[in-house]
Amino acid sequence: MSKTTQITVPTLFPSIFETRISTGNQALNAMRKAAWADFEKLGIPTQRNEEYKFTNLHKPLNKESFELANTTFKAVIPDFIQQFEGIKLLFINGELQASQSDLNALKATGIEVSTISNTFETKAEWIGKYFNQNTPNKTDGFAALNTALFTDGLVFHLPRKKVVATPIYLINYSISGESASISFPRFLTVAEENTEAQFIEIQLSSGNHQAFCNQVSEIHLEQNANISWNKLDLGNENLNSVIHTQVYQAAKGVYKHNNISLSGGIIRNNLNMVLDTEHAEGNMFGLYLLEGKTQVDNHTSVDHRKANGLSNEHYKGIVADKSTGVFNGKIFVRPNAQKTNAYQSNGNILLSDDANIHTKPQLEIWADDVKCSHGCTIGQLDEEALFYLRSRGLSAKEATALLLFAFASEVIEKIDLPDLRAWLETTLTKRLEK
Amino acid sequence: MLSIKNLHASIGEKEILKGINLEVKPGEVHAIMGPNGSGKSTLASVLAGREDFEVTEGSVTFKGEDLLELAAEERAREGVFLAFQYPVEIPGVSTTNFMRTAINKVREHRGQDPLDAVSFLKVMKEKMALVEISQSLLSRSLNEGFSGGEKKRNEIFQMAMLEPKLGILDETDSGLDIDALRIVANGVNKLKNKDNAFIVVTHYQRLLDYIVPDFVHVLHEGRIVKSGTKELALELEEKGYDWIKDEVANATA
Repeated sequence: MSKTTQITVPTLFPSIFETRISTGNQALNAMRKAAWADFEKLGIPTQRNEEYKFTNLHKPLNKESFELANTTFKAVIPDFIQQFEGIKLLFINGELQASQSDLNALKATGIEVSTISNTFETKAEWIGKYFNQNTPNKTDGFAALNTALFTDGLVFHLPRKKVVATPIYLINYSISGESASISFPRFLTVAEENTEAQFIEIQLSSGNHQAFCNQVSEIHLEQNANISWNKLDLGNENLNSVIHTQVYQAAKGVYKHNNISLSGGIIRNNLNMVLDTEHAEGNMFGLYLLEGKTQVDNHTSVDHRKANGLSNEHYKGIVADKSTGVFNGKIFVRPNAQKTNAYQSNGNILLSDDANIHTKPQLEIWADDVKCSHGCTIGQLDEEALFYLRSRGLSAKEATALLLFAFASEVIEKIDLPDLRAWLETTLTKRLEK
Repeated sequence: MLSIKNLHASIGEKEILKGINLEVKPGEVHAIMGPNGSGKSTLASVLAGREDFEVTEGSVTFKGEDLLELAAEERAREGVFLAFQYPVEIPGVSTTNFMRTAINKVREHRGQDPLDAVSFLKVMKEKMALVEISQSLLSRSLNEGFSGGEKKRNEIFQMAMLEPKLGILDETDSGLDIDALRIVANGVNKLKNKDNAFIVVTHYQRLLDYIVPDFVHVLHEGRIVKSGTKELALELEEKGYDWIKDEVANATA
């Protein structure tokens, strides 16, 4: 499917790769080498690749010369995030900034946290079971590139019965320096039996040059693990990103993902969920509220491998100005996955003639006793509803804002954190009333 | 209060209202009756400011102002209220939240301070009792999954909240069973006073047993062809609309 392409940043990636494998753990370097070989075959996906048909990331990567993003830049956690209740960890271009992170509070929760390289030294066998186990290095050039070149990110290990009530914020700043820069953040989260936690991943950016973020985050759930992951895309127009989130349920658990994209350049989110056990539950909710020239591409897949699984997917988009929204939702129901319930919907509202939506449900069902539904809509606001609201005294603008807010709030309501939800509601209201 | 003179209105190329004349004074209830397709709902929509219709001739003044110059929301703030024949379902917006916004828009227009949460709830409780509607229904998404009767009661509830000068009820009786009809009519009767007026658009006489009109007008092919008192409605109930159509045909023959 993928086409090999000439990469016109020829010296940068190989030189990063050589540096990465020159030191460090042997097992880890073996993984990097294998992934590098995959990347050499796959290259950066172009629009000839069906999976990247509507999202051209080849172009920004070839537009100018890149350097490896500097992880020693200084930045602070913005005030609006500081006010949220929770443990905050700051990452600059994928590297933890210990001095600005609540590491003691994190450790006090009982979550074991360490760098990837360190975990390969101390718990090699353990991490070998989880790390890079479901990353699509063989099919996606960006995933392979990250695995070959990643920055030494963090491992979050929730040992058995660890229930963490305090939300954990991972704030990743993509910062460009004197020229365009690329970073490779990497995270691994392992939730063992009977664990519970909420993560909030916030993608931010700064700098006057292009910041390209190529991230992989793997999340592994064991029996009765209950993990919710809220991801917010809040970067500036110089941020282009490809974020892979690989979720693997090895035993019956509940995973909930909320993806809210409010700004950025070209944002590609690959969310892949594998339900490799009976009675697993996976939820994926998303909202993209786009303006300017922002493009957000949510590529999601849920792979029902065993019986009695449930997946719910609900993405909504409001696109204004010259922005573009892309939604692709794959549902696989394997022959063994009888009694699967899989639901998917994608609703879109276009606010301008220059805005674009591409939406594609993709269901592949091999089992015969399943319930699957999908639906997608693209439309403008309902004129009759607008008239109804105006006939009660609301101006056309207020009626529009109210209807858009109602449309978007169905996704915001899925977020369980009251302070974050309230901030999103206020932010949304401000945007919609403009 | 409302003065309609020679009102003509079209949708696309089709003329639906062909010269309506009507005077409504404070304290009055006017019933507009007529067969299907006579233009009853069009009249209601044109008065409320629905933009699908184009007024091609005539005038409408409301409290001395040119009503046709005003946008739908300005008419609402001036005190025109349309109870919809088919209330719209709006997912994600609760009646309560929506009414809080609407009532404060109307108050702002009248130079009144916005209602705080406590006063709003007090007013709401009072008006809820009027149409026997429950708090839980109003907390739900506007009209979504409501029964026909619940939707119509919600319309009258909103009318009670906004206290219009002119209430227009567009076939509010359609799809209502007798109990719901009684509740809706009682609500309207309690809102009636010497300063406001109602236009009740209906196909059947039965609503008028509960909301007693001062005047009854029969609309046919876009014109008011007969006006009378409540006895006219009874006559229509008994004899149907055909004799009126015949009368009109004979008069123009």
